[in-house]
Amino acid sequence: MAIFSLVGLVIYTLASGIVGVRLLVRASRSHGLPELLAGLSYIGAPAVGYPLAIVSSQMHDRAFATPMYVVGETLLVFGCCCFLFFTVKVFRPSAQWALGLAALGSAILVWSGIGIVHAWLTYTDPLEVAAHAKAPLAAMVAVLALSYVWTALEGGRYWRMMRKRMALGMADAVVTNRFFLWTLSGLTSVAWISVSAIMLASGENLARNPVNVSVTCLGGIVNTVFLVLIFMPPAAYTRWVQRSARAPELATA
Amino acid sequence: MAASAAFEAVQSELERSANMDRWNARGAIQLALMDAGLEASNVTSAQMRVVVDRLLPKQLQSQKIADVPNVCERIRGALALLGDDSRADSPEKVFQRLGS
Repeated sequence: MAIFSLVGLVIYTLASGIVGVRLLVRASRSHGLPELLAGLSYIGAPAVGYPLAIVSSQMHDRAFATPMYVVGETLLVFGCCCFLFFTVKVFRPSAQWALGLAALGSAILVWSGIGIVHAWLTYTDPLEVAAHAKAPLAAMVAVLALSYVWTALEGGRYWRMMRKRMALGMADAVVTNRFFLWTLSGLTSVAWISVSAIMLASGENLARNPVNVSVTCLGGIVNTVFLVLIFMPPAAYTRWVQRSARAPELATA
Repeated sequence: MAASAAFEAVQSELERSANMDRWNARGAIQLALMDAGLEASNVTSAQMRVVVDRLLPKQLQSQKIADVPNVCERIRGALALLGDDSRADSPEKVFQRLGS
């Protein structure tokens, strides 16, 4: 279980790092805010923040683990906040309610991060840390789950719209498919975060529980596939999507 | 939520050429946009031309508007006067960039 968790964590970390760096490079060329927010999100949370928090929570040397844990949690919260604002900037750029929702979600995430780090700094016994971090961790898990539900809903809504555009010859099949993959990615995250919520409710330590770490990493690997297909799709996949989109047209021609 | 310049142009032309009131005109365009999978806030003039060609006539006929082909022709003329409005960001453009 520990080896599987480690392998999953490494794959997820590497893939998120590559996608994040590519997005940041693209942002530096295009000066696009969505690219910047998505890049910071993938670098901050899955590529650096989450692995740092997980690895440091397994270490026995507190002098070494504490700065890693604080940096990890800070980047995790920062990445998740960027993700919320990415959703707003892309799907609801002029909706005040969406901006307010992202700001509220970010405030709860920051409060959760502070609470979790405070518990780590105050107590040394892992059981005590887990007990005192439970409330802020529950809030963080709830906000994360809701943010991915939001992601899946927006992705699904736009995917349906893009299919209608495709029928009128106004949309590209590959871009339409990206919204479908984005929806699946959101749903995968909702599934794995739900497992974390169940574990948390049953009193488990999320960072040390091997089932939770494994499920998170499995979700991460599945999400990695989606990330690659969305952000750096292989030519063969792109050709397959275009061929599949043309097939009904050819059949009725 | 503010509508795009293309939306406003079509609405104004419907009010002028088809004698529709503001809300009937907006409703007809909204229904046509929904059928096309487009949003009032970021629909471009190029996309709106497709809507006018393919979907709006049906909406206007259902509202018993007289001389629909002529009304649509006037709308096309109004859209042709609009500048290049395709540079504004939209989810479609962002996702096109992200995977390129």
